Amino acid sequence: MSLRTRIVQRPGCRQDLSGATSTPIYQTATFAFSENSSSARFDYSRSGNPTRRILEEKVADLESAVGCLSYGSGMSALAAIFALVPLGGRLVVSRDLYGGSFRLLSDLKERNLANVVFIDTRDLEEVSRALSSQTDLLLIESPSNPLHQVTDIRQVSDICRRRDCLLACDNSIMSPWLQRPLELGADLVIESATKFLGGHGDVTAGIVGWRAQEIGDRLAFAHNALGQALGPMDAWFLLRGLETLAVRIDAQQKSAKVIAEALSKNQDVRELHFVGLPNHPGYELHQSQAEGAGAVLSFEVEDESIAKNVLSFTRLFATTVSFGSTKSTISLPHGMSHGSIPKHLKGKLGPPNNLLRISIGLEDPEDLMEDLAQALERSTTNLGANLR
Amino acid sequence: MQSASVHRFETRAVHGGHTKPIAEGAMVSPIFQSTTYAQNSIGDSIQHTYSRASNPTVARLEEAIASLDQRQHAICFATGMSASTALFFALLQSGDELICSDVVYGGTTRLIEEVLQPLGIEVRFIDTSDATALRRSISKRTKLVFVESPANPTLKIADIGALAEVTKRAGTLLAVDNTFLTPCLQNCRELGADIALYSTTKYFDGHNVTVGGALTLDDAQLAKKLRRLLKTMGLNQKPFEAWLTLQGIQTLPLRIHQQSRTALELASWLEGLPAIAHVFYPGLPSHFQFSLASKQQEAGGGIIAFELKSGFAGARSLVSSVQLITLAENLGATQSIVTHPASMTHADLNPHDGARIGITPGLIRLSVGLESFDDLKADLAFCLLNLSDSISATGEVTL
Repeated sequence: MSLRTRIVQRPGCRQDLSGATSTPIYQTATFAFSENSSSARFDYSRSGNPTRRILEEKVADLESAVGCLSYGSGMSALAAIFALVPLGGRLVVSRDLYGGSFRLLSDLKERNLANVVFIDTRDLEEVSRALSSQTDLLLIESPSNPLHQVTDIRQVSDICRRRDCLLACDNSIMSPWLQRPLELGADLVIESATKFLGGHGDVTAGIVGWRAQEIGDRLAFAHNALGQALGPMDAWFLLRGLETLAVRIDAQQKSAKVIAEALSKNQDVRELHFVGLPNHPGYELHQSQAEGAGAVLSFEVEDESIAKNVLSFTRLFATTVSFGSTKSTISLPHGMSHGSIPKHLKGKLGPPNNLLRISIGLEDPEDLMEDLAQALERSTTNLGANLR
Repeated sequence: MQSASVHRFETRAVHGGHTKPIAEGAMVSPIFQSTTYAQNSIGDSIQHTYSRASNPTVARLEEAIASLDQRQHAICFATGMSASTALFFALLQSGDELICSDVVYGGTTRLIEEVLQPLGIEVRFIDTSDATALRRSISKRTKLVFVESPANPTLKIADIGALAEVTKRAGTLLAVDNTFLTPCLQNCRELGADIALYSTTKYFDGHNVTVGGALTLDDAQLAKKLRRLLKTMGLNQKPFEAWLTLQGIQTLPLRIHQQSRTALELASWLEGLPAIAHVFYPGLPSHFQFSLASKQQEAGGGIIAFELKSGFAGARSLVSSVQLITLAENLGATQSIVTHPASMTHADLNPHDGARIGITPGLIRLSVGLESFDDLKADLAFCLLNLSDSISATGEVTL
């Protein structure tokens, strides 16, 4: 059965007693033990819940994972995989990464729980060098958010295998419809399901999928013992949102390409970061490992004050963090999603202050382009200058 | 900021008539799961008092639907049938006459025959695919003409513009049940209808998770009357259902266009199969009203009907052997659904009446979902090829 169909239909839907075509919401804390058995399939919703189980089976199937667990947020999922690193172990991470991940990693480092090293994972020699010291986990994101730096997932996974290091790939910006890191050799896939998987901006959730059951067992132990599970209602929202994953992303990335092409010709746009255009340095590599460029892109304007003006002049693009929703959003990563990167590191890590990130939603692309064009125009004319 | 007319359809679907959040900056509307609303003093005029009468989340859905249908008013109801109930009760009294399409959803027929007619409301069922039939039937007592286009389940089309001319001349109202196409594929206001009715359960929600209905119109007096009836009879939509429908509407254009494209491919393929006597799909050139459909619809829609040569035996065999497609009532969802109208949605019709209007024992209705065309084709092909082997064309079993 094709991926498009598996996105719509969940496995095992005919097994429900009622035949309900929408998954039941098992909003229950406990499950009664049956008379003739001392162990029920489910006993307590922290440990297992039917609605959540169906979600996890479905996402595992889409990600080509052996198994999957869902978490209360993307950060909770990331924290769960960082916990696979033993005390005093070593973590290597892509340099262009989400500010929330940076906050969490800084905490690990400050409390001497792990050593954290930031590298440019586009450079395979840099990866080899970094992994020449005993490393427990390498976390990459490709294309990276927000700069669209492309890492060769197959090559990096080969290096990791030789060095006995786990490779985790944050796939939030792509979703399994466009890229399946486990098929490319990664050991773990993480997604902030808040983004494209849920897709409607109505739930925060995270997922982790794995290729080896031994790792899955370790994650499952912590998931239950620490109580990291996603609630049944949120699991149900994700299941419902997932059904339109393919049609949403197809439409969003089609619009993103049209908008990127228009932005590349706009005189007020300095640098465009979008892997969907053939002149992007990572274009061919990305084409070889993913099926599309997605719907999140970023661009630089002359300076920070112009960037701030653009934010305030857009009407259809809401100024907000997150991405991947039906509604288009715009953000200034430097001060918003990546605001927790300390000032003294901002030159080396994280996005520049004149960078705007946009996430393309399901609006008509012409409406979106008209909105961006007028915002850019107003931001750079005298009117904008006065407001500055 | 209102975006009722400045933006294109896809944009209005996502923003629901607004481009700015209404509360706390939240990008998704809050769910106002509240029975009542605090008042500061006696006679204090507040927007909402009691959720049977109105509710902020339901109001948000009404704004979204009004914006999509480019109407002044949209009113939401607990179900599609409660929207029909409100419409009929608002416009019809004992001695008045209703003219209705001969092919409509079975629940509409049941409401008319079991509730309206016993109250002394006269009803004529006519073939609304023929505007001259309406011209002949309409009288001074006709208070409402109620049409389904395309008709459920035979997908017959009514020329809405031609019917609107007749009703305008007669000084009566034309209501169109636009559930099958939604404002995305058919704009009833532009075609001249006074009122559109929707079962929002179908394409607006689109995920098989709610039941709901809506009426859209421009007449402020009638809207006021409908709202009063809604409050009096307790026909109100619920906040959580309204919120889910709002979230569903955001992908409405994507879903229905994709479903329409797959439906056209499937209909073209089905047409060439030996087990099939006839395919009814407004997007096919072989449909007897293809040129009318092309004129008043953006696309053929996501519903196909087809008649099996092997009649009821074939229908029973088909619906019980599909694996991917679910046998169920409802339509317009992400998952494909197959229905046997004669025994399911239209079971309350007597078989003789059913057969006369095309709802025969061998008729199958297919609601095309978002699965891939190849997988749907394979699922149907497996059943239909078995069918031509095991059942002879003469082995028809009647209900």
